[in-house]
Amino acid sequence: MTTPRTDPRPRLTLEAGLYALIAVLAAALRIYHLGGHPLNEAEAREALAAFRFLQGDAGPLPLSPAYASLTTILFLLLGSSEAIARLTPALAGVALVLTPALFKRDLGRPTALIASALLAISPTLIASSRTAGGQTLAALALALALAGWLSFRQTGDRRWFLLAAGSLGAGLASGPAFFTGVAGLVIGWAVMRLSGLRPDLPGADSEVMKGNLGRAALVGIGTLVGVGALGLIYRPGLGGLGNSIVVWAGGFRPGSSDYPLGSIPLALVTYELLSLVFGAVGLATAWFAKDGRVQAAGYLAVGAYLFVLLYPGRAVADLAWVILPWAPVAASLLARLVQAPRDPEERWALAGHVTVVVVLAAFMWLNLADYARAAQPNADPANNTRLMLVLATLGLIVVITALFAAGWARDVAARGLGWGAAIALGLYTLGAGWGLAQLRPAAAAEIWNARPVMDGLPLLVSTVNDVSNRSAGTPWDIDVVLRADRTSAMGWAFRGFPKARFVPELGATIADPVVIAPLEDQSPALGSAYVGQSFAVTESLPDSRLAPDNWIDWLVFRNAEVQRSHVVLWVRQDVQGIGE
Amino acid sequence: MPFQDLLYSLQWWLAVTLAGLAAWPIAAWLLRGLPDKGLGLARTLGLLLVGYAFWALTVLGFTRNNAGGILVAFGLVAGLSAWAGTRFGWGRLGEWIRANWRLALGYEILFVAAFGLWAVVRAYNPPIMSAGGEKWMEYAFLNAIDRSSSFPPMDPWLSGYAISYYYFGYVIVAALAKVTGVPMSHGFNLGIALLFALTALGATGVAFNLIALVRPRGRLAGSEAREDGLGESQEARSESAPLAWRLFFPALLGFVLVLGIGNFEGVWEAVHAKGWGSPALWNWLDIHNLSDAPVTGSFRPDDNYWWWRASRTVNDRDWASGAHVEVIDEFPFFSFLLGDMHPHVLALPFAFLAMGLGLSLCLNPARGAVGGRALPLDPGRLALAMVILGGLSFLNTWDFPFYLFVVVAAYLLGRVRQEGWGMPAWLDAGRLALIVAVGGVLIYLPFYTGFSSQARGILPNVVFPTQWQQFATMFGPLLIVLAAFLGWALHARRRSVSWRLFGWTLFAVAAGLLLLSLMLGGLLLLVPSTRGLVQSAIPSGMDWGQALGVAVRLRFTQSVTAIALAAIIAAIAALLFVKPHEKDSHAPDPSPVEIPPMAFALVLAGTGALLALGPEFLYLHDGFGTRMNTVFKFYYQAWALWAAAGAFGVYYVFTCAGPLARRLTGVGLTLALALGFVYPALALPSKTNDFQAPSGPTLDSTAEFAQYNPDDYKAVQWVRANLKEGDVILEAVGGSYTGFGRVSAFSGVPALLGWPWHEVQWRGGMDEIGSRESDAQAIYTGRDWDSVDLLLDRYGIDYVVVGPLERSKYGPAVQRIFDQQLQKAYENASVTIYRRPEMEAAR
Repeated sequence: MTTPRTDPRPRLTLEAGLYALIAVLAAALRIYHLGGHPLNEAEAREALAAFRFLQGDAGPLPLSPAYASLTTILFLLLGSSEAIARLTPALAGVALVLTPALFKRDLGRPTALIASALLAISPTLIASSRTAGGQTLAALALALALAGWLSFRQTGDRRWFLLAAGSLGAGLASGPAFFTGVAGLVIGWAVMRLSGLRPDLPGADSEVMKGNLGRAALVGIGTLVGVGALGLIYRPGLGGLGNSIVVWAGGFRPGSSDYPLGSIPLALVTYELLSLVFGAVGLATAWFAKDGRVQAAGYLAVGAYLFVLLYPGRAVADLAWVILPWAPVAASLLARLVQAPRDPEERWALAGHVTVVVVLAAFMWLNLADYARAAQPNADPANNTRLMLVLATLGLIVVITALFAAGWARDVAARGLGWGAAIALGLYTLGAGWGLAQLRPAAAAEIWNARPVMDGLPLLVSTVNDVSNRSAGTPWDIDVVLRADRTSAMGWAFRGFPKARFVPELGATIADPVVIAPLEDQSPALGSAYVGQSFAVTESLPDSRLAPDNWIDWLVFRNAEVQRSHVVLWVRQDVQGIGE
Repeated sequence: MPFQDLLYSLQWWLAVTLAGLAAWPIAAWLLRGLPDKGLGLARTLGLLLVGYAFWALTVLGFTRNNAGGILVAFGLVAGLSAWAGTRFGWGRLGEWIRANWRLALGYEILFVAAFGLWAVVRAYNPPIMSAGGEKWMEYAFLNAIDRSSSFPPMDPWLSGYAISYYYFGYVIVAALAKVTGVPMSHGFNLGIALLFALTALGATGVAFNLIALVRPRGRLAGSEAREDGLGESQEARSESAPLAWRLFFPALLGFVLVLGIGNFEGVWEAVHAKGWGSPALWNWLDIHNLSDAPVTGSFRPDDNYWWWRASRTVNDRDWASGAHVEVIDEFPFFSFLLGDMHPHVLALPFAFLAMGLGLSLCLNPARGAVGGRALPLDPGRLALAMVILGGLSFLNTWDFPFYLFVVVAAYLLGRVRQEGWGMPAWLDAGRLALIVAVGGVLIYLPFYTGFSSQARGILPNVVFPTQWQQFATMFGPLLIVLAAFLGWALHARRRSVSWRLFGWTLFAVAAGLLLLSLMLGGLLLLVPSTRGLVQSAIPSGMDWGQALGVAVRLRFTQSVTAIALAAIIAAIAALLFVKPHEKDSHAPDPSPVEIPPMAFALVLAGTGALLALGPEFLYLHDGFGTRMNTVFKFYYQAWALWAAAGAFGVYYVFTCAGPLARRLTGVGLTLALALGFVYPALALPSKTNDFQAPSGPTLDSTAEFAQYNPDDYKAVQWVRANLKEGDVILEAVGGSYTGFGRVSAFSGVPALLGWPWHEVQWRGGMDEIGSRESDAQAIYTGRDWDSVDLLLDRYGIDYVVVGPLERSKYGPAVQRIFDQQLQKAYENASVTIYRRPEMEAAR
């Protein structure tokens, strides 16, 4: 008797293929044109922590030691640029998208796969992944820690336990965002326990745990020191860890955030409509179906949302902690809808219904766009008609769905509406993600951004390059005095100028060939001896970002009044080439 | 007290308590054998470990001097503690705390009460401006450390240089202020209150651990019973069995003897103020300035700074002119009353931690090994010893050898108890001393690389014997207690003590030290480079032979102090080498070596006696050229050591002695405490203005400065807020103990030069200071801008301060040249700060 031989070669399953496709999509959304925009202030500070360390200089303490130490390696290998500065979080973002695969046991394969797809196109996660800093690293670490812990409880395999410990170590090194995530998790857990939900999880093997506690502590500390300080090579790493705790704790001071309370729900609705709608219905469905694990994910999302809302140091980027558990909840509903009817007639009906919903949704959007385009919508009755049309189309979708339900089957109608809505909202979400990735011009109008640096900064740098070329013969070697902090976005932009000096105030006897100062700096020293040109370097929403005059216009086109700050490039008149 | 001050106090308490909690498992594990599991010393240990980790990480560049760096250090200690807790057993710790919660509560109440009490005392006496002493300098160090992003911190009074001083204590206090967000103006006074409370806790903790090891008389039956009632440690009992928590109350005597009483000078002050005592008495007593003090007719002296005289009880007389030679003999209560945050005060709680370590090693001197190589202790305890004892060097350098001696002697006695006076015990003690001495230096090496001491060797003291009446005044309360302890211990073993050994030790110590000092003097005369030192000490018109004759005569006519101290040492030696009585085997007198708490108490008492005796014959050659600082530093530790030994001794006598001895000890203790309390009872109201504060009590140490020098204060506030790290200021340079250096002291921003004489002391010479004082004058009084600018450029001065002090020192026209040449960065009614713009652009 012979035993059947198993094929040792790994086979590409449909599921694996789909995950690969999702990874490619996620990578494309996260890496394409990554260096297209200058680093903003917060990004520059983190990137400079790595850059200055490589220069043997005492740079700023990083908020995310993990980001800074990993970026130090990238800078060392690939040189410093905006794209390289953002590469670590971008790659972590791709990995983060795939983490639902680790929860397959709890969520089921289809739900995990769809959750992965939702995370891939989540605007919040795309934007986080394209931002230099530790947010995405923290999310990845916490997701891995949770996956490791759950898998350890289910399998008793100590490797999962060690993965959880190592991930916790990496998470601690990844900055203040990690603490927000942990706090959200704790509140979510508390909410879940208060609701009486007991997720069906096997108990941890306490003997295995006790036996491996020391090893796990070593792995955790080793990862913390390894990732956070490159094994103590990156010396500011440990200081950065402390710094991140202090900054996070300092976030509890009232008024410590640039984001008003309302920006969180507004951002959620604006960017994550797909997950929000399907997640809400999915949670209700899970509640009726007594699906404890989906409910648990929902409670974790609610907990994270509550914390982000109540934490005075909140940032819109913290919505990542809401989306991560919420995406599986939405995915659970989509997974129910995804199965096609067996009856061919019902399939055609479903296809028709989906088409109608998508077309009507597009019609709705076009009317909304037309309505938004008007300068004074309330003054023009025709535009109000557009708004009425939007509402009427919405009603029409409801009526058509009801007719499908009556004519064919409720199930078909529900799926048709779901699929149609998923496609329509998916396209909307992709658009929102595209915008958040700063791939469209109106980046400053995104409420996600606290203070983006706009394109004026590269223009300023290239102008100084020109002046230097003419004066010193190279693009970099001119003496430049900047009235700015050397750890700011300006410090990053001018990192390549070896003779750049950063001063808090301009002296009366200043005489350097190039001086860059804020527009409001009226130094008498910069009188007739200099010529100046203004550059708008930063652009952002006003502090009252929640109330754009025309919020529909903002929603559709991101048109909003923005505030700009300018600097003036002063060049001494006798510098060669000036005035030619 | 303002609500904000209460809040600051609460924050301070919380931070220290967290540090203590984080370190307790380490204390329980490594200070093994202590009945209280190191709880009484945990806070001090926590601050030391977190402070050390923070300093070491920052000096090595891993962290910065900010709250984050402190949290990393705290996390490191907490992690280490979690591991230590696992090694010790969390269950054991939990079981112990459940069984002994009353003791823990007692410690907590003591800490809170002592901290609160001294915070209130400081609140009625908060200023650092007019309070005397060197607070100005201490505040300057705190602010400079606060402003330095990395270590070693910059010297606030010598720009361009790091602090050259044992500054660890300031790092700890500044770190507490930083992590709690308490402004340094309040942190200064809270720091003093904290040191008071930690000392109270430490003294009580050491005393508790000593007396908890005493077994009440007759508790054990049969052959286990011992006549002196001392026996096995409670450690040997089940940990779930609660300790006799009521022992906490007698242990409080440790606190009282260290901090609660003063020397007997207060009694003399009261008697003199009342008008009692003849001039002959005061002449004989010879306490500097006391005979000139006003007579008030009441027991309360009322001249300014009368309380200061208690720290100048010992009065050396120049052997030719008979003139007063300053000697400092502070004791802990005086230091806290003065409110000086000086290294000897900063180190005091850690001295008790070192005593705790010594007791632990005496109780449990088990050897350890690493990689098959035997060590005198296990690596964990060796490391702890290095951190604690090495830390003492960084806190108050003199304390390192003192407490190394205590710890090694305690270890030796522990080993002797186990295996007798054999060579292995001695060899291991020697190895322990060597390892801890070398390791203690190595782990604090970055401190030593930037530290240049003023100490230039040992000199013989051949002509300044301490007058016995002054010595008795200084140490009166403790001598009474020690006499009771040692007297009874000798009496209980009168049949087994070798009186011959006592006699020989007495002779050897007294004569040996005299001979040593004379030989050292002779040796110094033979070496050409040191000959001048001795020659300068001989009065003019006196030749060598006459000088030697006078020296020897002085030694014989004023030898009571030395002989008394030698007698204490001889008594302790006789007790430690006692043999069991051979004639009466039914009631053996155990050797004190066999009884760890007693052996350790004798080590403490003996070390204290050696420290008190040392300056009779030798002193450290420092910038002052006299034995002033040697007496100060030696006596201070002698007080702490005798107080701890005395607390045990009193309990020992009361527990073990017969009725007569108990009665005599009771009378003695009552007398010691009653007379010892006179100084605190009189000085505290004097120093706090009878607890009256015109503007209400406050912990703000700068309030007085702000009130009386509002313009200077506002300028300092501007400097604090606007100057960056690396900026250098110029302000008037002037004498020590004055208001010079006020901007740098209150802001921490380095000045060209602060108190020059102090810089000389800290750096052991003028090399770094150079011509700064005259250059400062040249800048302020210069009329040629080019030469002034050259000097400003040479020292990298960014800001020039011109205020009332500068005008009074350098003339009213001092700012004319700056008005013409520099920008005004800040100006108020009487202070102008000028900025040098070139310097800004240069960075």
